[in-house]
Amino acid sequence: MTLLERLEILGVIKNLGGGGTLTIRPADVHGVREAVLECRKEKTPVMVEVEGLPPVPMWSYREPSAANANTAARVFFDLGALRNLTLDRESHLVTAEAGITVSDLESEVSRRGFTLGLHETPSTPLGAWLALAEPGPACRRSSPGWSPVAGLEAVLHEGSVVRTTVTPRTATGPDPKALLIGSNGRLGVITRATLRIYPSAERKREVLAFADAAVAVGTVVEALGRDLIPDAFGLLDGGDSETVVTWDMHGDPEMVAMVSLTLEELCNLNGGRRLSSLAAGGDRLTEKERNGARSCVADGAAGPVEIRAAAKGANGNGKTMIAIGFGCRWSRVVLVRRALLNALGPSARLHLERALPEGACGIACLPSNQVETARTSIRKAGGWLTGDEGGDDWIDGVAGVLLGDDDEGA
Amino acid sequence: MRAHRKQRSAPSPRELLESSEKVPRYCNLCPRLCHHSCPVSNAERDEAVTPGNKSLTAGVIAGGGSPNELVTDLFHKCADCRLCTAFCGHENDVSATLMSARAVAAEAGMEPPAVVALGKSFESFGNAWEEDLSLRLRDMIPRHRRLGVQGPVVEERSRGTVTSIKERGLRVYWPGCAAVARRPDLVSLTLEVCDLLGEPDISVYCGDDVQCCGYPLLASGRHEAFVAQARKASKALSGADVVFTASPECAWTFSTAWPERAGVEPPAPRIAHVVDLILPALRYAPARPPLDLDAVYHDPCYLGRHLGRCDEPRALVNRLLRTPMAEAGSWVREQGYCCGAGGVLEATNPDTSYAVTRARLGHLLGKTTGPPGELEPGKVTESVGGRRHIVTACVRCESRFSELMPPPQVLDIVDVVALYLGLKDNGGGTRGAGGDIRGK
Amino acid sequence: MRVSRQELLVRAAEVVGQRWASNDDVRLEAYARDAWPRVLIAAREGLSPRFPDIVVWPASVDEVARLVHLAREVGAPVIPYGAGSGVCGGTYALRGGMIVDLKRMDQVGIVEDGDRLVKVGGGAIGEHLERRLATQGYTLGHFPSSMYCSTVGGWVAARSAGQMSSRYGKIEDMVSGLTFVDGTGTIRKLHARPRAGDGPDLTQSFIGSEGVLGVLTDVDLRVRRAPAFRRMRGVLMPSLDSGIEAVRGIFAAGYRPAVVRLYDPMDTLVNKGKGTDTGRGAAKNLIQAVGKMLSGGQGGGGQVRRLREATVRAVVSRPRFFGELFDKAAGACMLVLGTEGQEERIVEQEARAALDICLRRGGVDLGPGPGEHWLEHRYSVSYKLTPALDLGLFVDTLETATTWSRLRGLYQGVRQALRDHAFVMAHFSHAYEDGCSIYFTMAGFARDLASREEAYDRTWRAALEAVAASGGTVSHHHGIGMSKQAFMAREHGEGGMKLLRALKSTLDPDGIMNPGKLGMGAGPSLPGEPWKVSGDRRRLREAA
Repeated sequence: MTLLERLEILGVIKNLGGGGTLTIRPADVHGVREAVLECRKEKTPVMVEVEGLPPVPMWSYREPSAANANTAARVFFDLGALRNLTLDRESHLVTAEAGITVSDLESEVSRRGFTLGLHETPSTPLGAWLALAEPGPACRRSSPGWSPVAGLEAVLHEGSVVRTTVTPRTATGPDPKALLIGSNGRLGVITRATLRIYPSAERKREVLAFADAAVAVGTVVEALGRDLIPDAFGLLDGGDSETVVTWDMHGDPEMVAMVSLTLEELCNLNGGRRLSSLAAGGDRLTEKERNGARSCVADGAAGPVEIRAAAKGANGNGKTMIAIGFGCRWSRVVLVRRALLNALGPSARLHLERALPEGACGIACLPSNQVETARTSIRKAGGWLTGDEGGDDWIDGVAGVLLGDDDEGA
Repeated sequence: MRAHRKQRSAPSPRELLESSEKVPRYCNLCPRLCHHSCPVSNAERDEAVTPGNKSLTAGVIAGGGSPNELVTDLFHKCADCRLCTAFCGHENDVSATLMSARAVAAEAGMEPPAVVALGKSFESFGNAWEEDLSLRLRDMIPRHRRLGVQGPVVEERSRGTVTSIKERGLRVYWPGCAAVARRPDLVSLTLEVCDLLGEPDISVYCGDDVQCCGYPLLASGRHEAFVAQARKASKALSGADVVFTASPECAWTFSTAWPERAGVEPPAPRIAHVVDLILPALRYAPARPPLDLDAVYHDPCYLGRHLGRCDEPRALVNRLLRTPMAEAGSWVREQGYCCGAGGVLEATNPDTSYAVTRARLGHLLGKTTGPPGELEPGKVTESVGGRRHIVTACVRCESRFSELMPPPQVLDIVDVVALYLGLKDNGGGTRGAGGDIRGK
Repeated sequence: MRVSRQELLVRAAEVVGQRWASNDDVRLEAYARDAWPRVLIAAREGLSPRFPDIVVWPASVDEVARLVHLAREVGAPVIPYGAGSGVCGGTYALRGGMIVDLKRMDQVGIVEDGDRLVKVGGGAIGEHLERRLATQGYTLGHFPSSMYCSTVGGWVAARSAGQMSSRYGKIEDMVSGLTFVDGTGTIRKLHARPRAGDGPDLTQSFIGSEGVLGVLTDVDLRVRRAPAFRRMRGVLMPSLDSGIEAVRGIFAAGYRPAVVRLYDPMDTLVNKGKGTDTGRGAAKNLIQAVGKMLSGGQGGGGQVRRLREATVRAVVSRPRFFGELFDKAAGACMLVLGTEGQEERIVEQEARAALDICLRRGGVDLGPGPGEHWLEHRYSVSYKLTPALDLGLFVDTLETATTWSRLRGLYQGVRQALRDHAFVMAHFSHAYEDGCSIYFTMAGFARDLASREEAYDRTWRAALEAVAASGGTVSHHHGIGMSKQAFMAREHGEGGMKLLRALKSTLDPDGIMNPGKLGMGAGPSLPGEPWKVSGDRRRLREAA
């Protein structure tokens, strides 16, 4: 952005007094900062625009200062121009600007022999993906608290820049990244992130099938107890057919082979069978695996927010299926499943997709008219739903304090 | 017969405190790596009571500070277990430093009421138990074994008529005042065991002039009285070839504290624990079926850590059992945890003392939840880990555990030997639950 | 504070009971300090930081909440206290107030094998917890060298790391949920749930807060089955570069050895060189003698000892000259590896593969001896500072971390920055796929207390400047406390600090929680400012 363009934009923001909207496409973090500062001066609410999703308010003005705020006006940020990317091969890190989509990022790193190692790579811009919901830990062997984000840059609404040191670990207070990621942009605009990546050539997927879901879960718990920890994981509830467990690993082939062998032994011991052992190319189940389980989970139906499942080839009998995000401890998985089946009938399904030492997260697929019943059943059985984790009061509080500073500044 | 050994002059409390000046100096600069080990500070959860802080406070007094009530109270918050020393990279003996600090405080007139009462008991009875224990002892010891008693007390033995230790030159069993006061039956039982194992030539000092080795005086800071007691006892026992004690504290006091703190040589060239007497003699024991005893072993601090006897009691008892004794988690052997009755903690800080006992019972019974090791006061009668017996080799430990948990029996190693030899059964003759524990 | 110390005590005793509240000088003195070497330097001269006003020992989260309400009402600072092992000055009562000792809250729950979670009170001492878990057949896998003298609450508050973090993670990786009382007295529970990945991660927004956001009362920790198999190994790497490459290679290949410790040439020479050909000439003998002295091995008495002490002081007070001399003498680097786990063949494979990677880079296999020796003496390092401090030296450790691509620059940057200030050695531990931590040990000497403190401050400033300039983090696992707070803005950016301060204002609107720490105001904000700790330098002797 040239200085002239920048001044012009700032002028427009100033003149939004009577209302109206403006979409800004900053070229870099400085552009974001300047525009944010001007919005702050004019008390113009800022929205972060993400293609295909409703605009997210970055902040809004509270009473009693609302009288001074220009609430009729809106400035939208389109971060599509922020697309720089640098790869640190030695450290297995990629630093990317917020405008590049996660799927593009995956393509870029895989061209260089790496993968993000995520269980899904949506075509959402990186900044929005992080702001809307942290992808969450998969089940990295390295540590259960693993996060894909090693560093972050963001512009707070009052113009200051958060730029965390890129480091494998730190002990420098609470993690500002943890506040910014998943807070729906209410604290600031994420402009850049450094993500952890993995050599893609060394991935392998084990697919195991069990006649009984409880045995499948028991096998997974035992495998985790024996330190056979996957890099990515899936458990597809087969309903009246087999339950399928997928187990992705990466690393030295000899080691991966040994983990595979141990896993297979455990599977055999528990009466399961090995469907396949594949080089894990993609981030979803193959058609063969899916058919094997006759899963109700369809393409793309794996997100933390409620999304409509296409339910292609599922047991939904043509009904519209809904996927709701849930989580529970391992000791509750079978109970949650039973509760759902009791409440909703045999069409309900679970798909676990993140295995942590203490439990799993995933989605429950169910007919759309039974969502409330399902929610109640899950909670009663000791599980919880996406959104139960709370945090709004913290974020509102922090935003309020920052806004208070802003008022004082004004 | 050996000549009576000479006595050196005893160092003063302040000299003793100053001689360990490195201890508080290092403790002052250490991040307190013994923090977790102190049973007293673990029970009180108080940083002031950690060995490091007690030590550096003693250092302030060594440097010329006057002890007040607060710091004196701190010096008495120690069970003399020396577990802190086991975890010290510099081998600092905080317990010894605090002994000296207590003595310095006492010289300055700072003594807790319990210590004053203990002193009075010694003045009246020659022991800490407010009773003339020599009378009890004389009642239970056969005349031929008695030593130190005026009048015609001995009978013909293999070496001929003798009237004193000096003439006899024999091995002496010193039960210790705690055993006489709390487990008099154990004293008799020990002698019966000795008889049966072909060790009949053991005598017992029963004089009313010396009833204690002086340890409680040492531990409570009554330095002068301790030195006097050591001298008196040394004279009375002088000439023995070996002294076996039922009390690890007595053994340590004879062998270490007397020379180091009172300038008095040990009463015999060899000071040993009863386990050292019985273990070698066990080969003469009649062959009998092993005992079915579900037991866990407690290492008494003075036996395991101070005297280095960790293997012997285990070897002794395990030889008699069908299944070896269990261990108290990782707090075992040189890292054995105090029973709570160590030092004079019981008198000066009774609540803390019993909290330590509960903690130790937690280890022994395999309790796995709750605060580290500690059993809730109301629940100590439950054997949470399924273990029914605690075996130990110190009467003070055994009496303390017995106070808090009767149903899983607490046994001394001599009890186990007696059970094996059929000298007692697990029901009628002794305390504890009934039932035949003999293996079939 | 709007009430007298006595009134605060009386009112706090109404909450916790008289037995569990104190303002006597013996307690206040004990709680006035922790293990920050700068304060230990002063403690050698009999000086103490300012005393708190009272100490309380609550037994439940409700009591903690009531205490915070009281503190808020009367304007008293609240300083949570574990076992006082912190090395950054995180627990000083800079403005007096109430020390809240959490050690009565030390419950350890039962591990259910399905979930492998255990609820632990914030006041549980690490070694107690691990021994208790061992009786249940589990391990937390967290073994900081302060294991004997630190609490779970302290670990979480300072983002602690254990010696086996490469396998088990840092403490923040082990926390699934927690409960704390914020600065308004509100009890907040962050449930032990596998995160579904939605919303901000509040647990990570609290961990590391060093008492400035609230008092941590309990935590749900992820535990693992105790390892059934372990293999230890020592490898002598020809150079530091080859050692770094080997370690990076091991992690890049996806292996996670529990123990990875690469000692730089100096550290190898001082601490690990016994019996190995790791250095050359007379300088080697001198440095090993100095190392032995620094580690407390000053045998001999009288004149011999004084001569040896004088030698150490002479060496340490000329860091540039002797540093360069020793660099010439130094050679190879010791690498200690340890793998462990449930499955023997996997443990074996990991050990074999890690060793192969080292051998391919010129390493010499020393067998299991060095690894087993390390394991046996794993906490010994913590004892080593004491004799050095006793000699009148200042000694401290700096733990930083960065990505693999910046690691060498960070190492050289710090050494270069310190060459005129202190004698330095380092080891590399806590390795990850994307980077590694470096643990520098710094020792210097000055004749009197004032100049020693000044030299200490100067050394730290130089070191932290170099860390920040090299892109490293100013702390990998010791935390910030007072000692590093001037560098917080460099770490997180101006906006990061605004965000963290806003979080503090949200949870602690009156600013009563552990004031003056973590760059949250009322502490030195610029690197050049001196640390003002010893505001009230009373001696116990005066109190006695």
